[in-house]
Amino acid sequence: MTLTEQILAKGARRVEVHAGEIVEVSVDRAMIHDNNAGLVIDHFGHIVDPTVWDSDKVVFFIDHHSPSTSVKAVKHHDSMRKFAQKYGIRKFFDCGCGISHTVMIEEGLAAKGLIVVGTDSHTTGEGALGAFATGIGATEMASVLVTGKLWFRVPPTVKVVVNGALGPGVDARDVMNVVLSKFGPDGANYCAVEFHGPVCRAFTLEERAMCCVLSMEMGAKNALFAEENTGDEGYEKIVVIDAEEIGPTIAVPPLPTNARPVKEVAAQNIAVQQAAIVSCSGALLKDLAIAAQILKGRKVHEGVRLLVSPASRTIWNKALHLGYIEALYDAGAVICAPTCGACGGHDMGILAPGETCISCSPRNMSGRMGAGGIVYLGSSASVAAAAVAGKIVDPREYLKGREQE
Amino acid sequence: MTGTAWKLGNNVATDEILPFQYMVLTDPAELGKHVLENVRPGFAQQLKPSDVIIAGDNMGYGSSREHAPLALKGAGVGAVIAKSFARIFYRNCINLGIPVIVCPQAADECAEGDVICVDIENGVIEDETTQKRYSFEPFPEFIQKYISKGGLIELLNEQRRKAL
Repeated sequence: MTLTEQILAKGARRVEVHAGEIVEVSVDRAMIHDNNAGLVIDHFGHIVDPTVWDSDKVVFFIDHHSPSTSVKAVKHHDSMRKFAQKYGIRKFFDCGCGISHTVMIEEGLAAKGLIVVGTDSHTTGEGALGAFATGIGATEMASVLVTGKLWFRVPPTVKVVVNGALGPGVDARDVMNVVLSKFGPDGANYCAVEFHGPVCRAFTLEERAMCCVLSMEMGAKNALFAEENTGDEGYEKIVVIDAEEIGPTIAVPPLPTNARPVKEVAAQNIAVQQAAIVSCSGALLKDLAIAAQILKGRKVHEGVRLLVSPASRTIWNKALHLGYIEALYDAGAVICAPTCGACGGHDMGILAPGETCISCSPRNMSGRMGAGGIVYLGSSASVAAAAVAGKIVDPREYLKGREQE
Repeated sequence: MTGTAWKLGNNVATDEILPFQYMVLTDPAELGKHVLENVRPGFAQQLKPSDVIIAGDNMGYGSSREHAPLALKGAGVGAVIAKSFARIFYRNCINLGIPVIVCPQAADECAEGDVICVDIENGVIEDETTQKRYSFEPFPEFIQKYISKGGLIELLNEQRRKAL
């Protein structure tokens, strides 16, 4: 059995399960955030005699409109707080705690072998420690709250192997951009993704979480990292990539899977009005470190708004003590609270029609940051370098002589 | 069920089906007023009850927001036919009782404005304008129950009422 089959077999109390079977599993963790909680609580209210199956297994986050952004948003926050109080949900991460996917890992709420569901497609990120983690809708979540159970078709697993070693100035995000471009927007639809090979194995936990988050963009049901070599049996497909073919890349709109070499994109002289170091895939501690490295002693280009929203309160605090926040602030960045930030335009950083943003968030579909806004995606180095240059550039030029101590 | 066809392309994202600023809404009728508004301005006003959306590959790509299928339902969409679906969108539609049909040939050949008749139980799509018929694999029995009861909550409630 693949890692995903092993976890689902355990969740279904079966000795073995295989790709294609429908199984009903017990949920170990159910995460609900403020963008979908309104619908979940509405649906829950329509269930006959509703009670929460296990309040210790439920986690609430306020991370999309944080602090509250409108009268309607705060109404949902209020109903979440009242619901949590009524049903004894104590794992409540209120405004300022950070993004669910990042905090769930920091707090050990998505440990190896658990079955984690969340009302967010990027719940795949919670697979970084070896959980089966996937996004579900509000109706299913209301049902999970009452029953603690959910059906799944056991997914086939695709194995991604990255061999070799990354060149200077090439980020884990660049690796993922290349993986996404190899699969396309539906190339891993309904599949589990496992990451293997020396490059992936060397990734830090936050880099692994970024890869698992972004696996969603090729349609993955879940994604995880294997600790040991699992052999080549039982996989639907094996994709092997040599690190030597990976350089800095930019995903051009309107798909996160449209990766192009940064040199090719830079040659088009694309001016940016906003640069965003935000989200569960792009505002981790290493991203803030790289951005500070590039921006220290430099200034954000005139006419560019640089938004920095660290992914969690813990990351914010570490970045403060390591001097990254000061370097970014001095360069002219707007330092925001730890939230989902400009990623989906929910609480900040909305673009005007025709404006261009470069971001390290996961998505660039049409309208993602505002109707008519144009979004390019890249590593934090690419975003920081563009903030200085006022246009999309090769970040390696801006890292020269500033190699990490 | 019979309605007019509205055609969409590949990889239509839930961000496009229901723009982020309306995610604070929960009422299907209110959500329905804004369905696809940036992609096809005025779409919600042109839709009639039981109309059919016909899309390409990977329909409902991206965000898990159930607001997107709920907006389609609120706007009166009777069924969604596509070459393929993104998985969360597909599940969300079933849980809300919206028929989602994988039929690449119909998705290719039916034209915008054609009158489409969908027979869920027998797995047949009929394009009344061109007089062409397409078959699709009927839902497995356990999914068929979601569609016929009108969604997951109704099905769950039926079980809970029996247990009381």
